[in-house]
Amino acid sequence: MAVADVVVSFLLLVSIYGILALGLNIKYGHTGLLDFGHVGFYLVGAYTAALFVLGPDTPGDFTVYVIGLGNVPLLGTWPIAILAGTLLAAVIGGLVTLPTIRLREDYLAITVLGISVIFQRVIQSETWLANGPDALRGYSPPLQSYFPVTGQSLVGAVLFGVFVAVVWGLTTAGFGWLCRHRSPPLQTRLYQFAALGQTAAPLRGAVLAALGVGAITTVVIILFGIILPVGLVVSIYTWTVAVTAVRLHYSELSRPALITAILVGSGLLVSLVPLAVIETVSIQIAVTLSALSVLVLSYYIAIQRSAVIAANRLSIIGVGSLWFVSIWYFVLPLVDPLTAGRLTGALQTLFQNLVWMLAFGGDVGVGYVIIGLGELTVQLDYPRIQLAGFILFLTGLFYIVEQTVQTPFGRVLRAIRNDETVVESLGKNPFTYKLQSMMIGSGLAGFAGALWAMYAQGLTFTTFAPRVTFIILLIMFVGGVGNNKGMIFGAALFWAFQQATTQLAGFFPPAIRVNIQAFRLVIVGILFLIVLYYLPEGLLTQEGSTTGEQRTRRTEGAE
Amino acid sequence: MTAETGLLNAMMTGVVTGSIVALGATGLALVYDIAEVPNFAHGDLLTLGAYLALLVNKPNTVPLFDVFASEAQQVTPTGAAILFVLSAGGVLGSVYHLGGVPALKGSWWGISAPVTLALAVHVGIAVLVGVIVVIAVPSFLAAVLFSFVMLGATVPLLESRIFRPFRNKDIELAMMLVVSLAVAFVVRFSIQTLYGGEIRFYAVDTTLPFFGGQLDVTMAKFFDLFLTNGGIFMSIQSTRTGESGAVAVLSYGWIEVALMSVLTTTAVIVAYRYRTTSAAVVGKRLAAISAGLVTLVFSGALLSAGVDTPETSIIATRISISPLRIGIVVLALTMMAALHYILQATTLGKTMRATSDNRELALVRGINTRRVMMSVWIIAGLFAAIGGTMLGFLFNSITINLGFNLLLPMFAGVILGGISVYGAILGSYIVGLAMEVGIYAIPGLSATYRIPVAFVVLLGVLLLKPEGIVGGK
Repeated sequence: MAVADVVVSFLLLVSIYGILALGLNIKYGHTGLLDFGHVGFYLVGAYTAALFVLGPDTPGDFTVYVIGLGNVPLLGTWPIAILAGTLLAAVIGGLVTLPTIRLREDYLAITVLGISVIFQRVIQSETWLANGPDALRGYSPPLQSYFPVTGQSLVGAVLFGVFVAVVWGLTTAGFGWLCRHRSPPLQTRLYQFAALGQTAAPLRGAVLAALGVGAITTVVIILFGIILPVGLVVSIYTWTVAVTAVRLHYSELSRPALITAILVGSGLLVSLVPLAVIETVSIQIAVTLSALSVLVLSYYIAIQRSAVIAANRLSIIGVGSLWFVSIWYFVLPLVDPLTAGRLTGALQTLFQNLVWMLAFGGDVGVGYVIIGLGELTVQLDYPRIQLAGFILFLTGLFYIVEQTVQTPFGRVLRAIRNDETVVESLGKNPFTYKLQSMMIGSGLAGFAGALWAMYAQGLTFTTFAPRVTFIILLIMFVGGVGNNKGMIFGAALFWAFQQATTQLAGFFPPAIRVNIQAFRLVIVGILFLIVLYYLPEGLLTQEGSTTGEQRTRRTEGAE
Repeated sequence: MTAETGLLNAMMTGVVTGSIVALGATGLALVYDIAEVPNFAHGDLLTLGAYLALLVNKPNTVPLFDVFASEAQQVTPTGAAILFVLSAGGVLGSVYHLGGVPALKGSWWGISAPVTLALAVHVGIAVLVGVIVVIAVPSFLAAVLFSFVMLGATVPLLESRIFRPFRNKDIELAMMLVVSLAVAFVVRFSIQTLYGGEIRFYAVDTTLPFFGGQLDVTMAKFFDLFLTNGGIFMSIQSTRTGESGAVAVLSYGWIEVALMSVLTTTAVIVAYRYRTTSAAVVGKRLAAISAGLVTLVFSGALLSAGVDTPETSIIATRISISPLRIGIVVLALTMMAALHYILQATTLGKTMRATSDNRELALVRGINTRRVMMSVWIIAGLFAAIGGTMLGFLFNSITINLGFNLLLPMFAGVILGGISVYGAILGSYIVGLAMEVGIYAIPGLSATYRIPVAFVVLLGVLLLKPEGIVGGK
């Protein structure tokens, strides 16, 4: 599997968990309701969506469930299923709030935890409801039958155009936002080209550009079928924007800080090399752990000694991580082919990772023969279009949540978080606001659940354990309580860690895989404690949060 | 009419479950009330206690330690030395937490004793415990002792290293809950990192000599109760195949029943009136209940006549219970009695109650609240050790989720009773009874719903009285 595919599945998980975290952020970050049972609404959304798209239950087979609306013409489709999952989760969120709203915050947390465990047990024991302890399978995600797409049919070309439109639109929107805020001259001209010459607001310009580019792509694919060049162009565009974003974001870092960051990233890479090279498990662990401790210790000493490094310590870690990820993405996959002496193989791998938009290999696809790279088969596979859909959902929901948070409604929520009595004294009933906040947060969790049902194509009750709530809490605190952008950042951090450690676990013998996975969670717990103690506001506060009252506070301070 | 298990059996099982929950909930309530930490990690402390006992009970199955085990359940001299150092260190560590080096020199004693005497006593106890553990390997009781002292030394580290720094930052209660959740994950997955995921169990010889014969404590006995025209009959039967017939039969005619009731009531009233003046460890209600129970048991033993099991009866019911479960109830009651004694009759207990009431006022009064907190955590650790090992023994399986599965009923019990030690005890028994009687009484409810039933009861109580039954400040 190419590294690009790993990144695609990583981004899929980040979208789902990002939406989950946004929901919990509404409940706790904005209203102060600590909800340890958030996973219960995730469960409700997932199972509702699955039951809506499953065909009717045939009595003879091995799966038993209460209702399957898959064959009903309008109801049995995915859009309705997702909507149903979201609404039911929101309603149940409201119902759960009614008896628990008067409770003290820790009582509330534990009671809602108990309610989520009740939901899990119901799914587990009631075999007639959703196939009991076994997995609920038998449905397929939308549009899956059309994939993999090679662009040779009309539908395929349209789907390809849609994918390109989404990618182009999101990238251009981000690019436009960057240019508007930083206005670098060279990039602004590129942006004007990418946005097809528009000067409208970033969002609207991006949408129009996306539609335009999508249409152009569809026509080109129908006429010429050249998915590889199109994929190449779009991929290069996304890489350019990404590099620009990183450069602009970290433009204030001085040269010593940059060098330190590169050293940190390389140090991490070096300390992980023993895992791949040494054979004996105990020596592997010992060398890697000591190398990592040396790295952490030296960084700590560097923070104490140098003012420059101390001032930018988080940015340095950020740049170092990006450096490490770039090496992992571009350089490491080349090691195997190069050591085996296959230069073309190495170049192929590099090219595959560059053109992340398309999937390589497989028996269905368009064949190309390229000088220096050999033969390639290219297609657009299902996870990528799923990714486009999920990222669209995430961005849309993020935008909605951000807007809601800045309205008077959001301000009342934050006032409730700070002091309920004040809100009451101003004549507002905190109960209705808390109820609405729980419903919105639970609805978001239900939406994420429906997306999970689509992604996993099969639901088991063990997925919806309280451990998930813990992970969402971790994401929320790491990203910054109350900070919506932080939610996505936290989700990305968590899943990056998970993917990284899964790959590292592959170096160990299978007998101790369980132990390694447990150790991974120990590290997560320790990092969580460190973040809670030293950075209770989360990692993104220095970047500037987007809540309304921060701006008012700043203007007040200026007066 | 043959006896079938019914409501009474469900209630007895509920009492047993309640005792198990109470073993954990007491420590949880202590820490919640006095140290103000809703300790989500308490369940995992029980798991830790259960796994630590494996070091002594089955040292050859513990990864990294099995190099020091010579054969099944025996340790090499190096292993014995390690166990000795750990046990002695556990005792000394627990004392150290009570105030540092001065505590080792006797500062925590209520009296002023010479330094050398205090040191000698502490070191002596440490050596004694170490020797007992090493000599008695692989006895289960030695394992419990080992786990006991180890948790007594390590659990307060959670307070001094993790919870106290957070408390000094003045964070809100909900955040403390999140912190303890993180600690729970660290503890649980550290155990799993070392031990792996397989299910383990203790190697315990469960037969005890009993009145001339052998008694297997894990085998259940049937206690059949019959209410007939002639009186009340109770017959105790063994469930082991091959042994038929009753082990013992007790019967009471109506006259004897009336006599027993009169005696018991008199004892209760006399004890109640007798203790009106002094309110020490054994208060009015406790004295009355104890006197009544003692009188009941004695008169029951004396007045019974042995006849055959009756053929017909108005009501017949059966309780199925094993001596182990009865032992668990007795153990829980003993530990709660010990805690009650500490709380009521010792200075330490008085300072604990004062700190729980109002910490600032206790500080003003000169109470060393830091030592009170540490002693609370030590007691919580000790209770967790006993609770965890007993849990592992009772269910004959030790898994990573052993303690966490009990965590929700424990929290339900603590919250139900209001966050105080006595409330937690009451709440645990209510939760235990609710879990078992609920499953029995509601038709069609499978056994996986035990915890949800507990939570429904909790929710019901909280709807009516959001501070819990005993609570309310």
